[in-house]
Amino acid sequence: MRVFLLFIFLIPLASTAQVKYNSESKKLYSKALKEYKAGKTVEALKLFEACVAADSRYVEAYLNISNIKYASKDYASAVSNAQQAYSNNKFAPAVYSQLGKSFYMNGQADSSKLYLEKGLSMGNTSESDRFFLAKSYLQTEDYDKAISQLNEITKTSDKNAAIFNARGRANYLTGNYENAEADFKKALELQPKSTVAFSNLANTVLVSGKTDDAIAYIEKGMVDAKDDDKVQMLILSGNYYHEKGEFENASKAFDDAIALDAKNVVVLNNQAALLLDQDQYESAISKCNEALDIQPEMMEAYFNRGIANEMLRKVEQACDDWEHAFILGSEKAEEYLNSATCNE
Amino acid sequence: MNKMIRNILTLAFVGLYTIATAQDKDIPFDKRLFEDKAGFSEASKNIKKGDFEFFDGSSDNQAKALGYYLKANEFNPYSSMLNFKIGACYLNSNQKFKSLKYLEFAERVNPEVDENIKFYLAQAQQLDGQFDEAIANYRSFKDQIKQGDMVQRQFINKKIEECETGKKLKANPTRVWIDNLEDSINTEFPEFSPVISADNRGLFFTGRRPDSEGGKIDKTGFHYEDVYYAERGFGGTWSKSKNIGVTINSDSHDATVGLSPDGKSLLIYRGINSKNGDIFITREKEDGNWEEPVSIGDNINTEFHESSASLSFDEKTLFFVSDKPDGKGQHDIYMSNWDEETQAWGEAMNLGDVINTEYEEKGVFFHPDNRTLYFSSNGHKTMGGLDIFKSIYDAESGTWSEPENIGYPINTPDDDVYFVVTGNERYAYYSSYQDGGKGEKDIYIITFLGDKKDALLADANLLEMDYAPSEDVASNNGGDIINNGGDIVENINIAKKTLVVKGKVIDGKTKNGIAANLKIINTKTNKTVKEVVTNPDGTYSVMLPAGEDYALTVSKDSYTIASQSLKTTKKDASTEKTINFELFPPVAGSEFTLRNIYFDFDKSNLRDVSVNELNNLVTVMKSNPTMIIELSGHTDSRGDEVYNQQLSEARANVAREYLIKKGIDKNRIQTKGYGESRLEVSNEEISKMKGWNAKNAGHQKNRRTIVKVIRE
Repeated sequence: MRVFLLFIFLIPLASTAQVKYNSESKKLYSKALKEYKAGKTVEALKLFEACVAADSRYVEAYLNISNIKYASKDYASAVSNAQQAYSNNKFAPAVYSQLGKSFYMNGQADSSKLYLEKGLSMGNTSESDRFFLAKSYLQTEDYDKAISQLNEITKTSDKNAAIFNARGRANYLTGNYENAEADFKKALELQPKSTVAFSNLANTVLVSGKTDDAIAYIEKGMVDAKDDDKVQMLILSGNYYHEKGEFENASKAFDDAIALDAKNVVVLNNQAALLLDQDQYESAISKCNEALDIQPEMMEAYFNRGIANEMLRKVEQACDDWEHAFILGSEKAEEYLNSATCNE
Repeated sequence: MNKMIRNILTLAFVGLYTIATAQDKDIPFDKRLFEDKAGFSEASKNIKKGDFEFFDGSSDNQAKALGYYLKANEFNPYSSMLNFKIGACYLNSNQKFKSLKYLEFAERVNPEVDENIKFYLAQAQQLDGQFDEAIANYRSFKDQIKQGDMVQRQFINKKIEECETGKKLKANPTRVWIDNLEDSINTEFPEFSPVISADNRGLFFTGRRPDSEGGKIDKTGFHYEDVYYAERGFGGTWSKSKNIGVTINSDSHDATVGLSPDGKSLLIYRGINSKNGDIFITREKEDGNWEEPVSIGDNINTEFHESSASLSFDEKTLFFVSDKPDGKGQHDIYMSNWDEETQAWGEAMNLGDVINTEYEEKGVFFHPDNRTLYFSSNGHKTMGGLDIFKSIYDAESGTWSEPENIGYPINTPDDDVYFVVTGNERYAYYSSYQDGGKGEKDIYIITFLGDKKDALLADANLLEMDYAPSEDVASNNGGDIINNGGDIVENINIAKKTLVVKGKVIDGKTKNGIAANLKIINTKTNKTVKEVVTNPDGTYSVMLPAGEDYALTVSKDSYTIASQSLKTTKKDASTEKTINFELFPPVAGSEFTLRNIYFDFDKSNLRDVSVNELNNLVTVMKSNPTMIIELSGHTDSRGDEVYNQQLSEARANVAREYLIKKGIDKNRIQTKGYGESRLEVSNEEISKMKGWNAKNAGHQKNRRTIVKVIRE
C-alpha cells in the first residue's frame, strides 16, 4: 500500500519534471520519432504534424518538422515551425539553434543573428551554431565577429572546407587578401574539385594583383561549373582579360556571361567599363543605364556613367553621376567632385 | 543614235583620262600648250608680278606674291614651278597648313623643280604631323648640303630633332579639349594674345578689327592692333567683346601683354613697329574706367623690343620678355622685383640658362600659384616652331626646374605662343591660326581633362559552399556536401531550470546604449557564472540557473561602474527578468551605487563576495588616478538609529581600508555614514510589499554603498 501511494505521488512529480503533453500526442510523437530515425521522413512528417494537431504545445515535434522542412530546402516552413516551437518554449537552446539556421537559409540574416546570439549566450557553441552565426555576421557585414566565430570552430575542427571558405570570404571582405587566399587554398585542399574554391581563389588573387595566377584557377574552376557559378567564373575571366588589356577576350567572356544571365548588373557594368576603355562612350552609357534600371544603387555604374558623360562633354551630368557614386561610397568620385571639373 | 551615244562616251572618257593623267604630269607655262591665249597671257602677267614680290623675300611681299600666283593657278593648276612657289608662299604665311598639297604636287610631278623642294616639302610635312616623311626629306636635303656648311647642317639637325620630339609628343597626347571661343570673342578678323583674370571672369585680348582706334591699316592689310575685353558670369558665356576705349587704345598698335590675377591691372604693349615696343601698365578705377597707361619704367623698357609680361599674384614680381643684347640669344625672359622704397620696378634679371636659350623665349605667363612659369620657346625640345613650356620655381633652392613641353595637341609643329592658365588650372587660353577658325587668328580655350579616369570594374561575387557539420564531412569522400536538417530532437531537457535575465546598459548622460562588460557572480559560491560583453546597443540576454543569488556588475573604460543584485528562487525558472544599468563618466558630483558589497547583518566585516565589487572600484580608481571619492555607507531601517549610523560609518571605513590595501592613496578616499537616514525604499513602501521575500528585497536595496566623485 505504502509503495503504491509513493508511486502515485511520484507520477505527478515525474510528469511535471518532464513532459506535459497529452497522451495522444505523446503516442504520435513516439511513432514519428521511430519513423524519422528509420529515415522515413515522409511518414515521420505526417506523424509529427498529427502530433502538433493533437497538442499544439509540442515543442519537440515542431522542431523536428522544422528539421524535415529544412532538409527539403523549404526554409520558410522551417522558420515558421521553429517559431511555433519558440512560442511554446523560449528557454530551450535547441529552439534558438533551429530558428537561427532556418532564418539564415531563408535569407533573413538579421533575425538569424539575433537568435543565434541568444543561443550562444545560452551555451549553444556547436560548430553548426557558430558557423551559421558567422554567416549571419557576414551577411550583416560584421566581418570581425564572423572571423571570431570561425576561428573558434577551427580550433577544434579543421577538416571542413565550408568553414575555411567562409573565413576566406570574411578575410576578403575585410581586405585581408593574404589570409583569404590561405583560407581558400585550404578549402581547395579539402575539396580539390570545388568550383567555389577555384572561383574565390581567382577572385582573391585578381584583387590582390596576382593577375597571372588567376587564369589557372579560372580555367580549372570552369571545368565542373554549373550555370550560376559559370557566370561568376566568366566575370572573373572578363576582368582578368580587361586588366591584361586583351579587350577582345574580355568582351567575349562578358558576352558569354550575359547570355547565361541577361540581368547580371556586374556583367553589364563591366561591359560598360570595357567600352569606356575603348572610347565608346555612348555605348558605355547605355550599358550603365541598363545596370541601373535593374539595380538603382549600383555605385560602379554611376561612377562609370560619370566618366562617359564627361568625355561626351556633359560635365553637369557627369558631376551628378559622381555625386550619386560618392553617396554610395566611392572615394574616387569624391575626388572628382572636389576637382576643378565639378567646381567652376 | 547608238553611234552618237558611243561618241559622247568616248569623248567623256578621253577628257577624264586627260584630267587624271594631268594630275601626275607637269604642265609648264608654255604658250604652245594652251589654246586660250588671252587666259595664258593674263596668267603669265600674274606670275611675273608674283615673282617680283616673291623674290623680295619678305613675308609681306610673299603674301602679295601668293595672291598673284593663285590667280595664275586658276588658269593652270598643274605647273610644278607655280605649285612650288605657292607652297613656299604659304609656308611663309599664317596659313602654313595650306602649303602641303602644292609642294607634294610639285615634288611628285617634278622632283627637280627646285633644289630646295625637299626642304620645303619636309617643313610642310612636319607642320602636317607627318614626321617620318619629314625626317626622310630633311635627311635627303641634308645630303645635298656641303659638308662645310655647319650652320645649315645644324639647322637641319634641329628640324629632324623637332620631328622626333613631335613623334613622341603625338604618341602621348595631353588629355584636353581645344575649342574655338564663341562668336562674342572671335570674328573674321584676327584675335590673339588673350590674358585672363585668375577667376576666369575677365578676358582681354588683342584684335585687329575695323573699329580699331584711328582706323589705320598697316602693310599686312589688317587694322592696327587694339585691346578688347569681355566678361562672363559664374558658369556663363562670354559677353560680346568690346574695344576697351581711347584711354588705353591709341592710334598706334596697342596690344595685350599681361593681366594681374585680380584683373585690375592690365599690361599693354605700345609700339609703332615690332622693333622697339614698350610695356605700359594701367589700372581699373572704381568707376570701371581705366587710368592712363604709364610706362613700367626704364629698368624694364629699353630701346629694344619688350613684348610679353606677367605679374605675380602679389604684383611684386614682374616677368617680361626682351631682346636686349645682354641675353642668351634673341628674346629672353627677365624678372624684376617691385622696390617699395623707390616705388618702381627694380633692375631686370635674366632668368638664366635653365629657362633662356640661344633661340627665342617669348610669351611669358606666371601662374597665380606663385611658382609655375609658362613660356614659349623654340630653343628647348619643341615639335616645331615655338612650343609652350612650363617650369616650376623651387623657393628653397632658388632654382627653376627643367622646362617641360606641355604636350600635343596644345603644342603643334607651328608657333604656339601667348598661353595663359586660369587660377584653378582647369582652363587655358591661347591664340592660333587653325583650319576651321573664324578669321585669321582666333582665340581658343583649352580644357584640361587631367589623367585618364579609369573605369571601375565590379568584382565577381564570392561564392558560398554548401555546409554540413564536420562529422558528416568525415564520412564523405569529397565533392559537394548536401545539407541535412540537423540532429533529431527527442526531448528538450530542461532539467536545469533556468531563467532569462536581459536588459540594457546605457550612458547615464546621453541615454544611448553602450557596449560594456557584464560580470555575473553567484553570491553563494562566489563563482563567476557569466562574463559577457553587451551588444553595441547595450542590450544583453543571458540564461541563469534559477534558485541562486547573483551580483551583476557592469563596467567600461572611461566610466564608473554600476551594479545590481538579483535573488531568484526555483519558481523563477522559465521566466524573464529585466535588469538595466546606467553608467556615468567619472565627473565631479556624479554618484554610483554599489549594491554587491555585502556585510552580514549587524556586522561590518566584508563578505568574500564583496571583494569583486570593490576590485571593480579599485580598477576605476586606478584608471582615474586623480579621482577623489566619498564612500558613504547606508543601512536599512531595522535596528536602532544611532546604532545604524555607527554601523554605516564602520562599513564605509572597512571598504576604505580594502581600497587602501589595494594600493589606492588614502587621501583619495573620504568616508561617511548615513545610517538609515537616506533610505532608497521607504518603510512605508516596504510595509506595502507582499511577502517576506519582497520585503527583504526592499531592505536589501537600502543596504548599499554609494560612491560619490568629489574630484575627477
